[in-house]
Amino acid sequence: MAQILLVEDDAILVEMYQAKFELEGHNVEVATNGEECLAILENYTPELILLDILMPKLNGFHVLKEIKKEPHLRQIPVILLTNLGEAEVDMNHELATALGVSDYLIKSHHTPDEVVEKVVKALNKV
Amino acid sequence: MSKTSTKQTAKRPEAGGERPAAGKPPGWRSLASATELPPVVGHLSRSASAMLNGPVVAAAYSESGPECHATTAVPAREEDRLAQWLGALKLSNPKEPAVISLGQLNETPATTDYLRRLGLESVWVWPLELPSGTPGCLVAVLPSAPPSTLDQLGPLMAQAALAAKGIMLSQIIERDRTQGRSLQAITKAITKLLDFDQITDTLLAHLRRLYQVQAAVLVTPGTLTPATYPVKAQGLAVPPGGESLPADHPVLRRVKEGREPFQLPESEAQLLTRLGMAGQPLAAVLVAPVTVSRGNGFLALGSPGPRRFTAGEMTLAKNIAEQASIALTNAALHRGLQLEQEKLSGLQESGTNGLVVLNQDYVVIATNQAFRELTGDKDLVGQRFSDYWSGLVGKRLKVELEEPQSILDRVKSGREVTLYAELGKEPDMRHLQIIFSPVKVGSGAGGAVVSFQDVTALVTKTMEANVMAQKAQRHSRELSELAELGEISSIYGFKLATIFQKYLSKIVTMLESPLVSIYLYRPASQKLVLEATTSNFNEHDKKVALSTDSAAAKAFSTKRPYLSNLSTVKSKTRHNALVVPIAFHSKTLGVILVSHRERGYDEHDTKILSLIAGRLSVLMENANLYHDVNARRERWEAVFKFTEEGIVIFDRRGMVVGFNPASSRLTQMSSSEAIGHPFSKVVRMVAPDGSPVSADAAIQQVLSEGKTIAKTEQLLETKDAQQLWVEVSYSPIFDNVGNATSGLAIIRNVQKSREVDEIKSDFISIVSHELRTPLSAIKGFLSMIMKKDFGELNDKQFHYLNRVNQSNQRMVDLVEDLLDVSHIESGMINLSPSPIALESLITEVVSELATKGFERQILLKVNRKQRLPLVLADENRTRQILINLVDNAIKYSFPQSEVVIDFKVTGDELVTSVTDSGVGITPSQADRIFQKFGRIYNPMSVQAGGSGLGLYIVKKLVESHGGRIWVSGREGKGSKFSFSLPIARQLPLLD
Repeated sequence: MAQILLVEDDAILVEMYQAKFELEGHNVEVATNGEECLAILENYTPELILLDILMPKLNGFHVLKEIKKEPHLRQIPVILLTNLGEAEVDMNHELATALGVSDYLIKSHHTPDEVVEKVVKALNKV
Repeated sequence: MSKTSTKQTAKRPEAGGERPAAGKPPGWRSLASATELPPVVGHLSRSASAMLNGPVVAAAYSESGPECHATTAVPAREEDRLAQWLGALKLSNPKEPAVISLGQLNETPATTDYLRRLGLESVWVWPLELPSGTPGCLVAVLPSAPPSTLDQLGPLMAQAALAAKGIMLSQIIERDRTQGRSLQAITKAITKLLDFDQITDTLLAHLRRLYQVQAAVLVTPGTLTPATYPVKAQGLAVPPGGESLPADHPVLRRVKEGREPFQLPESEAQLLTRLGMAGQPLAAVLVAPVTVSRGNGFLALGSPGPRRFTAGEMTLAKNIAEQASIALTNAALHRGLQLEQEKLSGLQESGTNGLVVLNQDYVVIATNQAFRELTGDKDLVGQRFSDYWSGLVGKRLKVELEEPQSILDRVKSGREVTLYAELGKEPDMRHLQIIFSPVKVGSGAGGAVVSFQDVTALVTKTMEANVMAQKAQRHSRELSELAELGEISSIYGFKLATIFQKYLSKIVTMLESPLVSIYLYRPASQKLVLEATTSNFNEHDKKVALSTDSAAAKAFSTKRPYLSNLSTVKSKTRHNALVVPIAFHSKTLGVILVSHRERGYDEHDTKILSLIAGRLSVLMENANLYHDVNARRERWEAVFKFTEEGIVIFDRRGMVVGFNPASSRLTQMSSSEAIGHPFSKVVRMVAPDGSPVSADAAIQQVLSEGKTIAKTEQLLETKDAQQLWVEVSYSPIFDNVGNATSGLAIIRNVQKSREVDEIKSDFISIVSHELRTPLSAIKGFLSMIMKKDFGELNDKQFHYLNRVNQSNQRMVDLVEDLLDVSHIESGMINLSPSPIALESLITEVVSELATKGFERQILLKVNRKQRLPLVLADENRTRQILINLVDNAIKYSFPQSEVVIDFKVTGDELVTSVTDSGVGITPSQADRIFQKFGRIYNPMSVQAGGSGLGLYIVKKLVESHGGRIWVSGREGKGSKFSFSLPIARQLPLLD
């Protein structure tokens, strides 16, 4: 049972991942854009953040930067969960590594099961 | 004036008698005993000075000029000038003693003034009568004195005159005696001698000594050539050309007028020197005529200084000249005799010329061997030559001047007669030159020598030379005609029709042959076709098939001239014909045919016509080349002008020399703004941020290394500062020895296609992202449902959901491929090459795809015989390549077959091959298979599915690693995909 913050703007995907994680016995809080994510994090500290990149208002990289600035948030593992191609991720590879992402997953490549698997793995590392 | 009167009294012309002498003047005794002139003159001067109490100059003159003088009471420094005046003093031979005032002397006013300044006023001249005719005189130049005083001087003058005359007379007597002895000595010396030259030498030596002259010259008539007068000289240099005088020399003309010796006037003394007898010029020349063998000559004696030859010297010269004449005439006769003897014996011994010697009656006295051999006539001696000659001329000898007597008459008169004659008959006929030479014996005619010279060889040579000259003349005419042919091309350029006409008319003149035709070969019909002709009545065929045996066809086929004199050119014409091929190197273009009804052709005609044909061939070839080059140039110009691509040509310095309209459109520069300017200033490349990128490096590479630089996309800045994407390639232009002397750049506008590409990739990228999200949702929910997260499913439901999942997966894969392609095409693909081991990678791939293979009952086999070298590649992308190829192989293989993966090291590459035993591909498919959507439609591919982008992506990935990919195999026999990757030679250093 872990506290997970899912940052995702697509409602259907939110529903899907939320259903899956809850089925697996995790608690999922949801933010639908970057600003909302940062607002939630002011009062809530999750154990892991699943972060989309392309979002309205504030994109995932900006959110990631803000998180890494906060000492009490810095240690939280972040998994990028995106639909950008590998190439785009590559382009920001340096940035992503510098910002200390645990993993990045492409939504269309991974089934929810596999995402859960990766999340569990990341949580175990901590 | 008698001797007695002058001896006793000094009678003054006017007043002498009135005032008798006051007694004997001082020094009288010394005068009487004097044997030489100077004491006499000195005495006169001193005595007169004492009597007149003033300056006195006294002098004695003999027939040959001033003998001596003395001065008294005159400053010593005036001595020289006075002596000079005395030497030049002209006295008009006074018969009586006379006192002459200075004014009467005909002196210049300056001289008169001078004498007056010295105190001298008058001159007393006292004549001295001497036996040789020319009188001497005594002169006293006196100061001003009253007549009475002068009268007292009379006896003194008379005394002095008497003494001087006595002395002069005794000198003359002494001289005459000496001369007589000299003449005797000379006569004795020269009459002993017989040799002309010895006589001359002795004579001249004696004369120089005797007369105390510098030069002695003898000029006598020439013995061999009477018209010239050889000069013998002593004491005078005779330069080349001056060895003889011409007969009309003025001195020679004068000696013919008389026998008397004479002195050349001083103005004429140079007559001898002027003839080139260089050395000191002669001032005084004595000439004495001599006669040698009835010819006139002369002896000349010359001194460089002024001298007057005395009468005695003249007389002596006359006598010597007479003696010399006798001796020289004898010597000349003697020499003539000797020469004649030598001539005769020489003639006898002469080897090559036939000789007949005749006596004065023209009877043969001798013949030589050569004559007997030439004529075959022996035993001629004793025969009259005129008889022999008449017999010869009648039978064997052909000569223009036949009458023997007229020949001999001419010889008798001392002339040489030369005849040309022919002896015998052809082919043994000899050409002879016959010379009749008179022989002189002494003064009379001494017979003759007839020489027969065989000049056959000479005549033959001359005749041959004439023939040669005629030929040479003809050739030079032909050459000039040929030269004119050469000019035809410069006048008519490449208008072949006109040139043919000009050639025809030249051939007509040069070969004197009115019928001329030019045929050209037409390969299509295999016929020679009449191209130009002078024939108006179809004497020459319009077409000649090569298969016939006509002259034209023969000449063309054999490529050699064909000569047919009176053969069967054509039965109706029966002309003589000459045909030469018009050939350029190995290519025969046609023939020239000339024909004539009567005239035959020879080798020379053939040569000439071949030469003409040669010229014509060059002209035709040039014309062809010209038209060819012109056509090429036009084609090239059309390409240059109308192509859409900018073509910029630059020279070895990188200056623009060619700039086509498309270049103008691209750069916005006009041709005149570009030509002559540096390439990099005309075609300005910039980086995307606007900073300039010089093309200099590229141009340098093209020009110095001769490299072609393949197309690269670059940003071009136009003249109006607009930026334009272009694709530029550079290529060197080589000269014929392979040096890159210039180069060209081809510039293509790719702005539009780039924009289209950008739109396309943006589109694909956006669409892909938008597709991915719903696909992810479908995929996610499906996987959850099928994992029974939301309850049990029956079999049917599960089966169909599985189908949905499969279709969805295909869509996901397609979207992935499209994304890859868009990345590759927009250059966004980022490789991180590092040395990787293919072994582990291939194991990974095989295990990943093993399930899929198992499903299709296909065995994946990795053939690895040795340790593989590391390759320099991006690991993820290499995995992608391998997965793609192996996956394809599985998909396209027949069930229960193998997919084999093997490796091979080739050079610095590692080649990986994936071989299947599936449907295989055809060569035409092999080209298409790596293209975008280049999927081959066959039953397998429909079943296999796929986007048709896989191999395109693989190819692009392999190539972006610097490798290649290719496929081999036959349809139905499986296929083999191979790709290469560079071997990592060295691990990168960790630093």
